[in-house]
Amino acid sequence: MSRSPGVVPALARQEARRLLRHPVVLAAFAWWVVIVAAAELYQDTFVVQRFESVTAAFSFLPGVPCILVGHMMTTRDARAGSLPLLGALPVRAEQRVRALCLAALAPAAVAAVLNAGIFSGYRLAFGFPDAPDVWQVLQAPLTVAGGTLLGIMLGVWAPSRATPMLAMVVMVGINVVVANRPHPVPLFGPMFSWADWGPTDGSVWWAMFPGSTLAHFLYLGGLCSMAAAAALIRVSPRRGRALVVSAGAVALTVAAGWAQLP
Amino acid sequence: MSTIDGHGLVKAFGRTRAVDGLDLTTSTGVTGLLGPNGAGKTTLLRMLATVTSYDAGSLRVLGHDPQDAAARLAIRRRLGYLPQEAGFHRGFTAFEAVDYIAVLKEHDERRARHAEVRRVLELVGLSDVATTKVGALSGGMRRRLGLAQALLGDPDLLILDEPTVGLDPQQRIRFRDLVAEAGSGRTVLLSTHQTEDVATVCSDVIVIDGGRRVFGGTIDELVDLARDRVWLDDRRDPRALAAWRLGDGSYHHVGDPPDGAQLAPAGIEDAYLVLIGPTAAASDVA
Repeated sequence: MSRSPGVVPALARQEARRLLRHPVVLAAFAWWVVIVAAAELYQDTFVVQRFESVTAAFSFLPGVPCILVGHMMTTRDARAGSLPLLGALPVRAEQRVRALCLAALAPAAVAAVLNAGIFSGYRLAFGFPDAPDVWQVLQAPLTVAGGTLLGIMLGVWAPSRATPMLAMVVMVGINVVVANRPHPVPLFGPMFSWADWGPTDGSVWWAMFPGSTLAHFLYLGGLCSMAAAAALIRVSPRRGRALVVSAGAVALTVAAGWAQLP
Repeated sequence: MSTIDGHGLVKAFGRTRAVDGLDLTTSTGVTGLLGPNGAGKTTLLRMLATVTSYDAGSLRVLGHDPQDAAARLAIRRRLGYLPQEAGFHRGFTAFEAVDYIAVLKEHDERRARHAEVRRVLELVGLSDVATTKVGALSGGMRRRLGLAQALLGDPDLLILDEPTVGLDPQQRIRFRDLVAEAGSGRTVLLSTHQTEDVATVCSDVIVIDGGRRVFGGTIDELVDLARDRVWLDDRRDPRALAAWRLGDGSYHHVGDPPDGAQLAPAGIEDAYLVLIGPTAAASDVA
């Protein structure tokens, strides 16, 4: 059964444009810009805060709202009453979900570009006692993709409008609980800052938390893959292949989760 | 060669047989599908459009059996379908809505796809509102948008489920013109409650009731069923199958006329009532 190979990329491009123009995504990015700019202009922003801006801030904004956006994008056709029509079209639900999963990389790519910008700016203007490595700079944008993928997965399995709201609260709650545990437990949270504030107020560079930055990046990538695989299992006509991909995602998450520990 | 060839089709929902041993054959041209509410029209169209499977019988659509996954894909690639409820996301513009469906119809080359979207919007007269959000379009415009997506890619088979609902007379005339145009060189199956639409654009008509086909033939053959069974009288005759008052005060009757009755020319509506009986007279014909 041959299918047009260009359909999923074409659909992914369409969905990526819609994701980036989504009012919630635009508002979340705008909010992030305002917070970073206001912190520089009107507050005493310390080196540790700058480090967190580069390595973790995107996980909250737009990472958390992207759960809502991913869910809305996934349930859009059902809410619009388009499903009776889509059922008679050549492109299957599985291809639509695959395209959405690819499109989830778009806000992450924008976050990565912005992150690279402020990282370069901070580094030139102020410098870091320990400059973040590439995996630390990329981890927050990756969690933006993760938030979108989680929203897509929830949209496929639990299309209720309440689901993403609950998920956002739960994710923030989990991260708060995990982040307040002794190291290395915070490494398992989706929003992790490598800068150790130590006993000070953040005005003095204290230290970096130990652990593998690459493995932490891979651990987050594993979580993203698990969300995408879980979404595809629901709609894939070939469940076996989707289950194999899911098993691979779980294995990557477990292995990287272990490898990131100091 | 028949575009649609179905025999003994059955589709049940629990204990209810929505389609019950139905036979159906159509070829090039516009075929009307008439029947009262609950007759099984929408279920039948969903089966033909590969949205729903059938429980028993045999079916070939464009030469393929829709129960087979590969064949289903082949049918969908040559099919245009406008369901009864074709919703579009209100935040999309008219262009974006059709462009989205175009990608889902495997038009993956952007420039060619956009040209095709512009073509079908032009066909249904929506070029001027291409950048208007779906939420701001009138009901009639949304219906035409539904037709536009069905026409994408010049499909060999067009299945339209009550497409004229909500259209004003002017839009309906334009729509009939479009469907008649579309019916030259391809098969169009048009389900409707509007007998006028059938009379105007269809070459053949199928009437179903209770999930079964009760008539299949040309418009003239259908009208023939009511020949000499329509009469006018100054008073309502309770023995008539159906009767209604006309503007001039006389009553139009359908049924077996009494001796000496003033016979009147029969139309599709009369023939439909003769076929379906008092149920249709009560529910479908005002």
